[in-house]
Amino acid sequence: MPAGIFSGPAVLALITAYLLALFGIGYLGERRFDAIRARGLDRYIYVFAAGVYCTSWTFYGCIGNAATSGASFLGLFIGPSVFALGWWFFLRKLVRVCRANNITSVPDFLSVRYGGHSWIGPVATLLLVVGSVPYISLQLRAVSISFDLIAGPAAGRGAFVDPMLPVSLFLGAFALFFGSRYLDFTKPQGGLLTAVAVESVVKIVIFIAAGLFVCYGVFDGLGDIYGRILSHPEWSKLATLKDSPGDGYSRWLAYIVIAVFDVVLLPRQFHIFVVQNGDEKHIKTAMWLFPLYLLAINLFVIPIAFGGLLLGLPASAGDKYILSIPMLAGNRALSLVVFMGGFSAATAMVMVSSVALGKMVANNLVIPAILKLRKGFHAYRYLLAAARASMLVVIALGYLYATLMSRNMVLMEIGIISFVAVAQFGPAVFGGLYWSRAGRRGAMLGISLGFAAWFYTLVLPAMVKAGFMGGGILEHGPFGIAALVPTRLFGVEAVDPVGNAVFWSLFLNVLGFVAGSWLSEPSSEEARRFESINASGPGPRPAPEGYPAPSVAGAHYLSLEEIEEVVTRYAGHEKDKEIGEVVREIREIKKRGETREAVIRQMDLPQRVEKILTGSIGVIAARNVLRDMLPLTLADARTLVESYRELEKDLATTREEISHKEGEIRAKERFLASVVRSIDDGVVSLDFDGRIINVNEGACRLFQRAEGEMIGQDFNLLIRDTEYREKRRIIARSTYRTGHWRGEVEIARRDGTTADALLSTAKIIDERGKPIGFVSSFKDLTETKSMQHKMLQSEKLASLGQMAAGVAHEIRNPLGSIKMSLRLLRDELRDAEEVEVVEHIRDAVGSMEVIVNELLDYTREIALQMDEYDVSKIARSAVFGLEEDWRKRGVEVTVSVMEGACSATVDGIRIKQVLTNIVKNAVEAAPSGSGRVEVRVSGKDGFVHLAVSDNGSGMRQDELAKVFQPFYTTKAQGVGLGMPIVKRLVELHGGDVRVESEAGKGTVVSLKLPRYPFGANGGGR
Amino acid sequence: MRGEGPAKALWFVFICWFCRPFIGTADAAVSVLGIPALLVYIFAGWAALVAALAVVSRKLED
Repeated sequence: MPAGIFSGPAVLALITAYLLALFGIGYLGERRFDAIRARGLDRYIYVFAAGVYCTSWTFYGCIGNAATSGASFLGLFIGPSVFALGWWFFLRKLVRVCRANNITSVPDFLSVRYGGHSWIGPVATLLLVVGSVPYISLQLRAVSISFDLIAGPAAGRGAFVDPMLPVSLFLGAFALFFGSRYLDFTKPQGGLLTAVAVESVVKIVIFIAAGLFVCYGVFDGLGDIYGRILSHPEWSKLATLKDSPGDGYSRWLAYIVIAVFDVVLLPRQFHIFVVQNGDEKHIKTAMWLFPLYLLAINLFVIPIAFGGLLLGLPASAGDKYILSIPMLAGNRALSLVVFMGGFSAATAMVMVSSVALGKMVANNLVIPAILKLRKGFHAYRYLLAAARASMLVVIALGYLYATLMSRNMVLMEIGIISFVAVAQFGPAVFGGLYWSRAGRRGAMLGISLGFAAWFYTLVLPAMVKAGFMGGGILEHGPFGIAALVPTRLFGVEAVDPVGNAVFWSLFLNVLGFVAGSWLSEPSSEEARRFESINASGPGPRPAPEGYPAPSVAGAHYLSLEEIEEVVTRYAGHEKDKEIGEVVREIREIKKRGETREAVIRQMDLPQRVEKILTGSIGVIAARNVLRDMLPLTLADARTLVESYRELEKDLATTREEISHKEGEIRAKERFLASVVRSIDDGVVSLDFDGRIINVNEGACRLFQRAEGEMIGQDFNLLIRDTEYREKRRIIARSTYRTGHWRGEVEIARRDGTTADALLSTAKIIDERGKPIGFVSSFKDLTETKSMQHKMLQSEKLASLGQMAAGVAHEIRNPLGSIKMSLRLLRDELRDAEEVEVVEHIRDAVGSMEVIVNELLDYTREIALQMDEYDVSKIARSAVFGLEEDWRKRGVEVTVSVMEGACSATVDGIRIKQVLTNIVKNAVEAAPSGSGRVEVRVSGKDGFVHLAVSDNGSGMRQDELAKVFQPFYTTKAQGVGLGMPIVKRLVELHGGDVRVESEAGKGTVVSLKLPRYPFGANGGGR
Repeated sequence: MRGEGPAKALWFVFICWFCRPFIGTADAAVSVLGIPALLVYIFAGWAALVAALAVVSRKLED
């Protein structure tokens, strides 16, 4: 294998130049991150920065893995790609929860979700550091290996023994500059993100370039490489899962499973994907761009691995193929570029991981320890220094691990140890997000069992391989128990060692998590934490109001000055803006005079302050700081504030109910008032002493007084009864005893007039049955009395009519006899004078007979004999019957039949009587010699219309008004019953009669008869 | 939530695609267009997955 094509100092100079360039990019990114965001480029920076998932382990290690184990390593990239379909749901939820609670790491999340005890964070931190340091060492070792390859063995490099140290130092400086400018990690780290995103682009471009060179510069394309591999009896197995060394399929599945967790939970991934997510919509971009990135960077891994094998390079040196092949092909430039690509991948990972792990160590181990040892001092600078020191310690640990431990291990093995370790937090994190029963005991049991299995099945074999232990345990198991051989636990032979470790660690982890959670009832605090986590909504970074309380800090009335002081003490001036907003808000509320609201907000302050501090000093330290400030225990304080809030809620509900009821009562009052107002009768309410307290509009109308005139006056004002005093006593006594009184009274109006009214009084009783007043209703009887008077008159008239009818009936028969006798007498007489006298008597008797008949017609019951008639014929018959009369008077009478049907169901005899009566009146009214009477008949709209007009002298209006009155007549002869009879007969037919007349202009009498007055079958009385 | 249904369906489809027995259909040392069948199977599925993700991610709403 070629080695040392460049001098060590030259390569080191190039590295230095690259790192300085990276520093410059980071600096620019830091300063111009707002401009980047304004252009919408931050989403791509976010995704490419997440490309730190592909480290030198991908760059070198995956090729080595492909050279020995085939395509199974692709599971590490397929897993995240498939599960990216769910990122919008669970990754977004994680982002929301972490943003709402200022969470900056997985241990912080565990503390917030399972909280209550401060040890879950430190334990998780230790485990993550143990699991992640090998991974950092892997990157440094990759730099070392590639440096050895390109600059020659260490022995030939003089002073430049190992580049790991200077590189580690530079990366430490980079991390300090860009990763720990602020104690608050929730602030955007634009410089770090930009530098890492650029490195992701650099490494993928270089990797693809190297792949193209291998495929098309060294070989004749993919077909050439794959064809030769597939034709090789051993190597062809690498192109399958089932035949690849070990159990390719179980390894493939194991890689998929752990990658699903690790792509989010690896400290560097959590830092980029969750903590540094500036906008949750970026997740949508990550969903497709990140898998595309993974796909692209893996396109040439297998061709390069197979190319190396075909070139005769040893499979055990597969980690170095990507660098060895260009060197072997004599392509110095590409070799150097590839070296820089690997270097880029390694540095990006070390930078982000050291920042994330350093902050995790600081928040969960160092800062709580410092604050425990020394309280109440201005700790910000010390805390910032502690965070920076922690980052350097992480890099130092990686460096030490790389130099001491992993020299005998290939890169892939180191990477897998870390991957499987981090995956052990998967069940607790994702279970905690979605499972309400998930509890602290379950989480700790699961993580402990998972890590124990991880150590036993993966770390122990690695230690044996590195020579720290004898190999007997791998062959015969501890104490010779074959079932406990770490790589074949419980005798499962067929499974790949990685598959074995992943299966057992995650199986025991999930089992412990579920069992521990089921067997221990979640505490109220855990239940509340789950609820608050699930209430986390979207939105920009910390707007404390509306987010769930993250921790145990409870209620205590801290002054605003205390709050400002404590935040400045522990978070410097980084949090001036946030705390300033809170303080301003409370002061505003106080200014508005809402003291109670201000107190409630202020009682909430410790929780809000804890949240603000969490971003800077971590969950544990923030809790401790606030606990020291609160006189109550945190649990008591929380209970107190929750009880207070419940009380507030209840009071709010009661107030709401009262307001609602009040509204209902007012609505009913308005309704009742409206009812009373709309009553036409006068309603007056009185107190128990008889004073008027309320009146309605009807009362105002009735008494002709304004409301104000009556209110407060004695009831005496309204009644002017001659026996008032006595009546009032009766009314009062009766109302009081029986509850009501009803009777007639004489009311007094304002103008001095009086009127009869019906008074109804009732006692008003309150809810305890005690009388509190009276309500009186006055009904005006003026109209009723008038009607009663009219009815009395009518009754008198009716009696008179009946008497007249009886008299007429009795007279009619003797009159008939007289008339008959006078005729016989006249026939006997010969003397002309005597005959004339008898004739006069006979005419007088005839007139009397007419009067008697009219009287009878008017008073007696009439039964109509209805039948179908042509009304025009009836009219002609009536006119014809009077012909002698009108001819004698020299009056011209005509009958005109107009358009329309004139047939109707009528009593023909009665209608003829009606027309005869009217025409006779008209003829008598018409002037002799020049009189004209016209009868018009027409049919229209279901009625037959008849109009009799004359050119007589007409009537005055006062005469016209009386035309239908009985016994009213302007003629010398007649009793005035003709027109009343006409009206009665027409109305019996269901018709109508109208008279229009004007003095000197004649008269028109109009009749309107329905064609079918009582339905189709007719009928009548 | 809009787009949740298609995302779940696709997730199920691709999980099946990359697991046995489906992946077993291509798990043999034979070539398709000069490339090992397994790699064609994996990368074709992967490319389809990326395309599906691009479509689904545009449709996802609250």
